[in-house]
Amino acid sequence: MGVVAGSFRDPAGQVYAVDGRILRTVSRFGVEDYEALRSSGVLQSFTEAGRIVSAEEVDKACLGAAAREACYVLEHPRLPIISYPYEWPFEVLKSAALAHLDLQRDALEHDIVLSDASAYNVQFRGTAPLFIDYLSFRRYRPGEYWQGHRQFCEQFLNPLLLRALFGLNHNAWYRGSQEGVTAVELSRILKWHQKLRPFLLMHVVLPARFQLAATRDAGAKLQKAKQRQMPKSAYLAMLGQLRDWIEGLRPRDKAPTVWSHYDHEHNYTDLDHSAKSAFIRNFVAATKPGMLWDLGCNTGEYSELALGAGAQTVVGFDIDQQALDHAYRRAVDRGLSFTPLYLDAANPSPDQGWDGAERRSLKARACADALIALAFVHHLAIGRNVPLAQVIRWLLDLAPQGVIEFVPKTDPQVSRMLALREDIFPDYTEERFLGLLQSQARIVEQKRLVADGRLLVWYRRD
Amino acid sequence: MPRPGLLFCTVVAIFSYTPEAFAYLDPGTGSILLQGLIAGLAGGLMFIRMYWKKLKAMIAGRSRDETGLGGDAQDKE
Repeated sequence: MGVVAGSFRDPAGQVYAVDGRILRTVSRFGVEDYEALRSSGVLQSFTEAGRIVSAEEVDKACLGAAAREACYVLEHPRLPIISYPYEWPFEVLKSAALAHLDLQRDALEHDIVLSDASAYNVQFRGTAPLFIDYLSFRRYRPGEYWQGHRQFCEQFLNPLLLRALFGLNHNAWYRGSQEGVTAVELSRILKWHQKLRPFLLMHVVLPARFQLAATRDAGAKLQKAKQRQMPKSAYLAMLGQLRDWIEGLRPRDKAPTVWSHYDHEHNYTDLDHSAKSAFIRNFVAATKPGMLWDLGCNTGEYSELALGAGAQTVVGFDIDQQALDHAYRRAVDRGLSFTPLYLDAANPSPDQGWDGAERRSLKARACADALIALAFVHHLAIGRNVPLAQVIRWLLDLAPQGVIEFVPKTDPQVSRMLALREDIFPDYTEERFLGLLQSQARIVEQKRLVADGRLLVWYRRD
Repeated sequence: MPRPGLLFCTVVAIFSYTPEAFAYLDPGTGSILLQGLIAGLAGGLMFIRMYWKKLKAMIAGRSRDETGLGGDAQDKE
């Protein structure tokens, strides 16, 4: 039986993974708020609308000794994948932020608030945000402040502002700090005229200045501030104004990247394109994966195709933020069960956080029944100097079956990669690629794309 | 009287400068102080609104007395 390592912070309860079941204890610290939430009607309406994960109260015996102190044990359905805010593209983080604010607003109408604003409490089913922490809800105390404001700004607002104001992606910074971007940090890099914009002044500049000023004289001012009452209308107005502002945030980087227009500009002939589509369609129809990972998903063209061919859920990974923006738009517009995530495959998310166990590595969360890696291998093998054997090993570890495309050195894209550097990749050949695959898996089918000599291989690890 | 240019530069200098942060302080202090400010403003606004209403009622009451009209006539205004 395992305590989920990321759930240690809350005295109100803990999460356990037992034989594939997800169980949550509610301790005596959290029981009154949980019961208030349950009887408020909020819980039911949120779960019915698919805004928070469902839960069922189960017999405490299923947790054994771990449930001795617990007042309740809840069982949640297992989610298709757990992802972290440092893996979310801009639009995904933004939709999580809006979902959090909407949840706050609607709960407050029933005198329920969220005690924190951790972005890790939001997960995704397709592109639909889902709140997962029951124990963050508690009863509203009239006149109280928004306790999660600081955390909301750090974990949602400020990372979004990095891209909206400066065209910088939040992912690397977020993964480093894990708690997002503080007001003091963001305030330091704002230009003076940005600091005068009302919303930035209110949610970034002033909190940063007050925080710093309080290091010299915290006591009296803080005491005075704590004695004041925040009218509920002001609380709601704060949430509403933040929501409107965040909804209007757009990435600042407008210049197209290499991959954002890949769909329209890639160098396949129509014939090869339809042959490739047919190959993927056959593979998916035959294997019917519950979860398919699309590595190097780009704008999600083949993810969509796989969903059409019978994959239940697709998680797509790409390094290009603009391609991910397009992929997200595709998923939302067409109602796909497709989650696009940011991934630098040469540096995937590690085990990290407290004791190196709070947030799990991508590999530990691997849950794919199948994968597709189209025009992907050469980015690692040539673009990042990862030996071909290791790239193949890594892919085979991620999923028991899949389709991998091999792009030869004669391909214009690979030639371009090699144009300015010495070719130190004598092993990067189709023969070696096939040899490596065959030594670890069975090749079910393969297909040569005529025009550019690319090869599609369907493997199965038995 | 300070020149507007000088005032502008001072404001810019104040907001452009971010001093060092120190430990031993709850990271939410800045947010609480901000919300204290908002709560103060909201409270002040409610106070003003309340007195404004009272003032309006008083003026309305006086004008009613002068015209000799009753409450019904007021409602139809």
